[in-house]
Amino acid sequence: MGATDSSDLLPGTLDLLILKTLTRGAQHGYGIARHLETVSNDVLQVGESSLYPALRRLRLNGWVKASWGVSENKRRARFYALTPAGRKQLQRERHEFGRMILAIHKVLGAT
Amino acid sequence: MRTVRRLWYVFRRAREARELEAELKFHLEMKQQELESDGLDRREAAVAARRTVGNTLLTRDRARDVWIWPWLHDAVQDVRYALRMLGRNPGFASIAILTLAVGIGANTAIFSVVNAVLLRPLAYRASEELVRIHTRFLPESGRDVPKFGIAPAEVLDYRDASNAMADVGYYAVNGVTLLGSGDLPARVRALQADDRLLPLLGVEPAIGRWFGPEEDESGVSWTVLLGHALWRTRFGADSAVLGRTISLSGAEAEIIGVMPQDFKVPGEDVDLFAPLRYPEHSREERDSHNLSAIGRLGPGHTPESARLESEGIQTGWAEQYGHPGPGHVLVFAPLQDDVVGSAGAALWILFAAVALVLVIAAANVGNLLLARGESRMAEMSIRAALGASRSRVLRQMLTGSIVLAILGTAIGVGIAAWGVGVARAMDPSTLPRASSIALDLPVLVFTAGMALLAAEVALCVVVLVGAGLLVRSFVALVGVDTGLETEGRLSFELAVPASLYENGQNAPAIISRIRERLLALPGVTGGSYTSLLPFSGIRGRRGFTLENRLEPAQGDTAWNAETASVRSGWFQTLGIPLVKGRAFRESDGAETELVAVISEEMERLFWPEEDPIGKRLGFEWWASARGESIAWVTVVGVVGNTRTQRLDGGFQPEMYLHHDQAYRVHGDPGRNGSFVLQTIGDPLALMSAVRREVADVEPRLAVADVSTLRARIDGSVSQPRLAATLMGGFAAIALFLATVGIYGVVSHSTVRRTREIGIRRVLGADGRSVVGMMVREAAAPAVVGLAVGLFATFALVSLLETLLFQISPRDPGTFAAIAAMVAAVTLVAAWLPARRAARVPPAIAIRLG
Repeated sequence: MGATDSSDLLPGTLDLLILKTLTRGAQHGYGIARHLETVSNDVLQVGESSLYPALRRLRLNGWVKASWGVSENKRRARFYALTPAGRKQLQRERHEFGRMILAIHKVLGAT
Repeated sequence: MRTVRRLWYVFRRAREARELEAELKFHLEMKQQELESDGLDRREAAVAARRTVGNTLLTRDRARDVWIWPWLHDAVQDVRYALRMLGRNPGFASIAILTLAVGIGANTAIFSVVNAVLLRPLAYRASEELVRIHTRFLPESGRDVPKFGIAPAEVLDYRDASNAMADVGYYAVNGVTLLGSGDLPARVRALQADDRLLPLLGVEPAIGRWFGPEEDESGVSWTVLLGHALWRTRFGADSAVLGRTISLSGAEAEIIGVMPQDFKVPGEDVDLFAPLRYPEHSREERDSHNLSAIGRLGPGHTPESARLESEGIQTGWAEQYGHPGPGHVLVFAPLQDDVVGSAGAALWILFAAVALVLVIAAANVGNLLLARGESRMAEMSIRAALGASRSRVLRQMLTGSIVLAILGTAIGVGIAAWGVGVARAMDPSTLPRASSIALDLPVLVFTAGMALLAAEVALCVVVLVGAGLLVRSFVALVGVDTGLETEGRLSFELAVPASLYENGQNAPAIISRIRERLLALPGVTGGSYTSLLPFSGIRGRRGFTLENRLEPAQGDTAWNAETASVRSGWFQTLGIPLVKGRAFRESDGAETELVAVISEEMERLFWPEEDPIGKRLGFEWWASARGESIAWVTVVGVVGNTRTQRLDGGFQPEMYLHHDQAYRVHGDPGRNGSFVLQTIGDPLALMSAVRREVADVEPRLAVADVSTLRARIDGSVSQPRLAATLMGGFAAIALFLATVGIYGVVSHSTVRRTREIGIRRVLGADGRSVVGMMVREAAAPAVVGLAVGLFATFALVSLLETLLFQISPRDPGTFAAIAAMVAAVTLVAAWLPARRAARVPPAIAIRLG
């Protein structure tokens, strides 16, 4: 299975994945991208031209908040953390996503 | 909440951009570190990281789009880009903006005027039902007078007899001397009306009440309503003014009301309103047509049905009273048409001309944009190659045009506002309803498109020929000989209020005393007094009978003439030559033989074969009103013809009576009239001395309407002057725009063909033949345009006929001159850029291509 660019994802999926990643704790943009790649065995390659606009969209919606901190290698980095609203949104989107996957499965399984 | 945050980010956008920048830098470093730890060396890692991370510009754009609506951002960017482009091409920008501004400005101003004057209904209840009722002499009556007033007995009879009219109101406008409100005596204009006039118009006084029918009777105490302007200027807008008494020409009158601010009786400029109060015998008067009448049509009636009905009514009068004679008819004109009068035709013509100017302007800007669009092809290709979508490029170009249009419109509205201000300030006789003009913002949508040079030239020719005709006509008009000397002649009104003296007949004596004092002033070399000041708008047609002659038959010249009462010295003062017999003498007086001086035109009409000296004219009405037999007046002299009403049109028969004798002839006590003084030096500088002398003789007299005779004559042609000036201006604009258009098109085509020109030069063509080729190419559409323009003008120009004086609308001289001018201007406009192109050295030209 080849790598999937984030622009090939279903709409809204990237937001869902970012929110999920952040449930493990605050993380900077690079960390989020790295996590998605690692966990998906390099299937999900998230370009920063999708990632950063997505992060900003989440901030605009009040689902994540950003603050400057120091990274593991002692660099200044911007860390993103889930807000309570973000946590609720994650649950909603997870549910939605489950329904969507089920629906796709049904379509594919239909004869 | 989202919107609030969005706005918050918009405010913090500079900081957000910096933070994003830092974030991306961090991301890049981390990526590079990761690659290095995978075994790549430092430089390879840096390059690879940059490659994987990709286009950070795109990231920034996308991130920004998250919080700013993309279209808004694009629009702001496009507007800034458009402004930058205009700034870089100041020549193009100023020509395009100026072109639009002038086109839009002139159009908006003229349209505002047309709308206020011609289109917007008059401010009365159901104003479309209102008609002006005039009397008219048809040509077959022997005198062709298109419109004049209606006699008191006629209007009263007509009101009773007519079914076509729901109601009729009437009035006369008279000058009165206002005393008793502090200040100096003032000469004001009083509209004296019957009680039905205001209810007929559907208007109520602003304060107080209008008068009732009983106040129209003589014998009861006077009442008066103040016009709003007079109330403000002379009574301090005091609402306690009701019940106060003022003196109108010496008679006490109680103020019972104030009229609304915007109230106007159509076509009249008056200061106060009073009951008509005719003496009882005047109500029987059928001969003196001195009233203005306004009627309201009944349901289902039109001016035409009213006219048909009036024919029957007038036939009844002719049987009953032997009056009116044939050819003497009532005419009914919708009030609005009547108010607008001759200004209507001129306004529509001007409006058409200015619309053509706008079309030329639009064509010009279209041409300019088209030319620029073409030269920006390369730029557009680069944009497309870099990934700009078609719609994005289109949007950007459109934004450029809109910016241009907005700038042009903004300046144009400024020009229009100025123009409207000028129009508002205009005299109502030049432009009726001027005060109701306000700026209208017409929605003018331009569709950018290819406009042909030929069309531009053709439209330009139409406007130019129109302007040429109007200007030549105006020059002919002001060149007309009035038969009057105007150099240094000063005029002012001086009326003697009836009630200042027990016996109104004292007026000539007072005037005579004042005249003697004025003649003694240094700087005054002559002077006299007249009841009919030339070019004051006052008319004095009076009928008479001729001794030992049969009454004129239908088709014969009717027996009447413009009749002025003058004091001695009148003919010398005005430079009117004595042709036969004698002028008035100091020995002619109130008690001596009644004498008259007539004009050559009057002699020609009534005594073409005989000597008029010694012939007698009979005046019957006033004598019989006093229980006497007819008053006979002997002709003692003939003087030159004069024009005293208007510069166009033929001479009228004129008759002069002696001021002291006018009362005996037709009951005119000689109270109303004007002085004309022949002066040396600045005539107006004499006025303080004049006022002093007048006040010294009688402090209760008001000197009014001071003006030089020259200014009066100029004022009478203000309307044609305005039309000629505006048309001239529009024509100049049109010619300028067409020139710019031709110049622009030719220069653009020379730029595009620089290489071709170079090749031609290398192959042996000399500079002249290159210029010739370029000019010929531009000339082809221009010649077509010229031909079409001349043809179209020839077909359209008869619309101008009513505005022209002593010049045919198809005047070949004007057509030829305009054709030559347009041809010459076109050639020069094409020649200039062509010559420049030909001067580029061929070697350079080829490489440039």
